[in-house]
Amino acid sequence: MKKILLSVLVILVLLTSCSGVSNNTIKIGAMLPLTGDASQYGTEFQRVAEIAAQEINDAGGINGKKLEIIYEDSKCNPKDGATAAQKLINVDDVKVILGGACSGETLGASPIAEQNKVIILSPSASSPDITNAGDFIFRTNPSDAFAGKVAAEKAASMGFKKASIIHENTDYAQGLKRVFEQVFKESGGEVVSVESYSSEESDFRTQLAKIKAANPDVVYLVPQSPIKGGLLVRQLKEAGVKSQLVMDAIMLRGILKDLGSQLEGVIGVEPKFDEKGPIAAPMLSKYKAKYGEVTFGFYDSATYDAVYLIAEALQKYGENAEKIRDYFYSIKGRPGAIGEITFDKNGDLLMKFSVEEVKNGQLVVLE
Amino acid sequence: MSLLLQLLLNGLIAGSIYSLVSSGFSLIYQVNKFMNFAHGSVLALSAYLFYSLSSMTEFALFFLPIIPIISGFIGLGLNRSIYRSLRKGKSTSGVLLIASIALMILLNALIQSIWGAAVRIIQVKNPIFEILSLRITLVQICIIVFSISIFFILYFLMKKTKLGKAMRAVSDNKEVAQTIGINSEKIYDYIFFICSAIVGAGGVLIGIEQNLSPQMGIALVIKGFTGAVIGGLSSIQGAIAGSFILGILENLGILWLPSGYKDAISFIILFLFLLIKPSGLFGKKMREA
Repeated sequence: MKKILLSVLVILVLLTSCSGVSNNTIKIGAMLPLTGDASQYGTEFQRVAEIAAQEINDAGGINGKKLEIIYEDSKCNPKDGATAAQKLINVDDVKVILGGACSGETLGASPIAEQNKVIILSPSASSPDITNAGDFIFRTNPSDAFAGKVAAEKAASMGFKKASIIHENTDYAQGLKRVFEQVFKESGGEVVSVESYSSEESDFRTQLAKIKAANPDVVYLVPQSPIKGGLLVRQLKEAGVKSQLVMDAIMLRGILKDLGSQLEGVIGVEPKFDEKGPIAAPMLSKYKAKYGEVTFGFYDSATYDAVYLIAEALQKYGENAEKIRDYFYSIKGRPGAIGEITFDKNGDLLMKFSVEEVKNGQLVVLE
Repeated sequence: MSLLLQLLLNGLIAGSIYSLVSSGFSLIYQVNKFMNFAHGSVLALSAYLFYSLSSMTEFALFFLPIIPIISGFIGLGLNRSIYRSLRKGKSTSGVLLIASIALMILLNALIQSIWGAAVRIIQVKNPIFEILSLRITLVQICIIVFSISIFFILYFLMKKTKLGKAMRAVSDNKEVAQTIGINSEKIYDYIFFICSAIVGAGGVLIGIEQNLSPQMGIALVIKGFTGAVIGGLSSIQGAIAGSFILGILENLGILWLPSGYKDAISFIILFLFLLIKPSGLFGKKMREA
């Protein structure tokens, strides 16, 4: 009996694996944080990617073939990013990878993709280090070299002289911290304390007590995920720090609904984005109808655009990564959900930023 | 000066949080002779259950005494369904340890699939008290008081009650305890129920204090484990004292070191104890389990 069951199982496994090799699909990879604190990004982006793939397949697919996305959990860190890329490239034999959402996982995967001549197109990895990560590495969101600069200049223009920074020990957060520190000093300010914490920690009271003792005018917060952002703001208030708070608006969006009242007056920076744009609006309403509330409108749009760019390139050049790379570099002013898409010579996206403030539980654009 | 005192207070709060995990962790280790890492996931699960129940009604506090009972039964269920059958198969403590890690990952995945990855916040009024420029919230005071009372309750339970004596007998020598008529499986059930109830109540308090995330149990069980090793895995009072020492050292340490080293401090202490004094500060010399 056992033998029969076993052979049935083997046959089933063989059958299912065979269907993957069929010629009616084009497979691309996706690496996203699907577990852990950062999975709030991954789960939302995965849904958006599926919406885009569905639309593409309903419209006839890629030269008659269906687009299929294989997801790997890259857990927001370089180690699992590398593992995910290895699996997608060596086992699934994909030529294009969507992701990662975090800078850490993207930087971990980049050398492997570069070596194997596989395209990486990230919707939300924003570390300045990704600019020089390789020839095959692209992103549909702007570098933090700009976001950190905008935040530091805003803080300086509000007349603040002393800044404290608290950041998570991850690639993304370290990148932003570096830019903010440099630009704030150049603008004539002084960075009076820099504190950090590891991703596993949820008790920042001692770091915050040190910040309080340094008595800054403004505190720049760089968590890796909204979960930690909410906790930081809360513990800052509990510690009695009354300085102006500045952070990436993506973190605020993730916690606005639950922590709205505590976030009053916090300043957020994010790429300028029109959610009522001709491509973004239908996509976002489709998302709302299917899954409820949209949290990361801009980055969802960036994911959506990334899937479409990949499909377009595959349609034109097949699975030839070098031609796809050249095609991406040639894109100038292409309309997308995030607005106009233009890659620079490093595969980075050029965009404007907006500075926002939380007022009555909503992010209101200041400039 | 006031910064130093505030850091000491922060260390005390952190120590109380760790001790809520380490007390049950070490009691299970003491009697069952294996490290139950799923303990942290029971904590997370309890916090999430409280979140769901309390968001349904206005009377969140009504559920406060119910959650530990539910958590107790969760622990009991894990013991009966998984650990008991492993023990029946004469599994070593190493196998039980691996099983508990697998359970921890499984329960975390379960939490994430039910409640999602987004941050969950238990909304309660949490006034802040300021005494001599030291700041502490009501929930933090509750955590400290609760962890100190657990220290005395467990002490009383183990030293003065019949159940406690039976637990110690099983812990000392399971075979001899059985020959004098103590049902060791029953004792294991009690242990899991009590320890899971404690960690469940702790989970609610920690959940209010630190917000909820599916991974919250993992970091806490590692800190709880470290605290238990410092104080002595084989002694509950030692484990609780060790947790306080860990919390205070960690928080005072980063007064001089960059704050990124906070976790490094606790792991260096862990290694030092494992190398130099594996039985911990207050533990008896460990026997091979």
